[in-house]
Amino acid sequence: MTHPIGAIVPAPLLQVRGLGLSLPDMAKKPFFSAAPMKRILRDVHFTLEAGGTLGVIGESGSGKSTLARALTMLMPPQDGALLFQGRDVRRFDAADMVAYRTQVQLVFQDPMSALNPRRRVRDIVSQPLRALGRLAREDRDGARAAAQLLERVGLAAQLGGRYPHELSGGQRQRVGIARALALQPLALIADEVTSGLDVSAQARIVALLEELRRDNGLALVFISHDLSLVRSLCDQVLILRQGVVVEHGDAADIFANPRHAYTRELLDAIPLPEHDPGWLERESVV
Amino acid sequence: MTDGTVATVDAIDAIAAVAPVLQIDDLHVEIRQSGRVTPILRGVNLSVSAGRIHALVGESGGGKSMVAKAATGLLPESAVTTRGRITLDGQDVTRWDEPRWRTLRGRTVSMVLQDPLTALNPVRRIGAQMADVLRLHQGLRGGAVEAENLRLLEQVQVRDPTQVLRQYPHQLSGGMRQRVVIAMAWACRPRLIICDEPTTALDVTVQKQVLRLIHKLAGEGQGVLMVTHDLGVVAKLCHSLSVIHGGRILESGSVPEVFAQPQHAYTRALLAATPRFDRPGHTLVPVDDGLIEQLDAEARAYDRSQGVLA
Repeated sequence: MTHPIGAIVPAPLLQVRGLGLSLPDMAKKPFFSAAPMKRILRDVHFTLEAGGTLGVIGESGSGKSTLARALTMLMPPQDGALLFQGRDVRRFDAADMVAYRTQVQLVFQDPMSALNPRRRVRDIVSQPLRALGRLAREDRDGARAAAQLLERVGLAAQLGGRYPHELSGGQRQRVGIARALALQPLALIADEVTSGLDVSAQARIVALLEELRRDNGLALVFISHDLSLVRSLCDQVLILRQGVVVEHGDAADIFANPRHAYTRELLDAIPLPEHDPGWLERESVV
Repeated sequence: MTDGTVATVDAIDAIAAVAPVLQIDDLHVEIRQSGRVTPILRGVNLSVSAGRIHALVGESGGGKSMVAKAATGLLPESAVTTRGRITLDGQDVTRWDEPRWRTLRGRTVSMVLQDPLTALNPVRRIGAQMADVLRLHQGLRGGAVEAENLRLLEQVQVRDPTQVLRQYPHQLSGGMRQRVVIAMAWACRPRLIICDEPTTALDVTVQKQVLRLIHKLAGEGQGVLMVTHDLGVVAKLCHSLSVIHGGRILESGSVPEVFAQPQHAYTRALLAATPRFDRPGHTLVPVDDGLIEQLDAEARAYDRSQGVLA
């Protein structure tokens, strides 16, 4: 389909084209010279529309956490293009970069190390607003903003007075999400946010992300090694192996009909909660 | 399933019926700290037979790790066993002190923990750490230690064991490290191995390999208590299970029976919260708060009936 000349074409929220990233390989560093570079990500492509959900699946060492860092420019990619609403993020100046990072927020895997242990939950959650001077004048200490954010992730406002170690794992991860929501972003990049949680706490986080997408149109990049969770949350799936995209497409399609042998192997390795005596011995049908 | 397999299972059951390797009867444990009494195990009954894998399933805070600790004599100092009995390989170990437990650990019971990186010493080579176990518990010396190390690593399917013995823990992948820990736990052929979330930190493909390994080793006659929150792992690996919450066993049974027809509402809730990629449109249902409140109320009522003032 072509657009008439002069029409404003709404660009997708995030476009990633041929993204590549290398890091110094410290294991191979000679004593007196610089370490050789090692490819972590190679030629990654995807498009995330506003309100869309992309699941990134990969095992350890696949480069999925590096992708999260590349998307937020914490580790700027060397190759390819990263476009935000059609604009090249790699050419953003400092002010644009601040604006970009308010719009695309990262939620980390381990909230215990991502949350400052010596600050109360309410201060942690309202910190992004404080840092950018966006707290309301009548809410100097951020208590009101924090209460609203906590409520949004299903936590009681009273928890604001606690320290991170006084919360359960699931509650801590909610605090991480509440902080990411403080600046009203358009997208969340969630890096293994449910690993380390019980099934029930995990189900709650997934329900929360689903709700944020439905009610606020929040786009989501959900990075996980758990294919079942990705299946229940995402419309689009990207499977990474050793920094390379093995398979990418519509989630329903890929789960019903995996084309790549590696995808099939991953699916076959998931223990489903039903009795199946032959499963342990069964090799993946490749 | 062939007739042969059924017969073997029956035979193992027959032996197991005589002497379970771990038997826990009516175990009550409470934490006494700064004048406060908090019951954590409220009458736990559980038994693990030789050659069988029994799962203890529940969410964090439910008491499953406390059961594992009680069965290895590793309860914290503030924990007091007020009632009940733990029998390990026929011996009543309920109120044993640390020196006596040391004679049992490694030889009669050993443990595989969730995080192999913290279970291993970061500044010593794998070979040296494995050798400690063999020297201490089996009295092996000299060349016999090296030979046994190699044999153990081969048994847990480590490729290139000679190389691995010379390496440090950080040089191995997570799956390799967990194999080393399992090899160390298996070194003295203990009667019981307690695995506390052994695959939670591993990738799915590696998890499957480690589950296969545990299955194979249990087939040699050891009893395994598998502590986990993953019902998928239970369904695929274990023979029987107990579901624990609030320090109470809510349901016990064989894996085929419980998965076909879970009796307790909490078991059903855990199943509904477990994600399934094979069911499109399957929505995850978190465990209902009302159910948790009801279970907590039951636990408090139980405490009152026992005369515990919490």
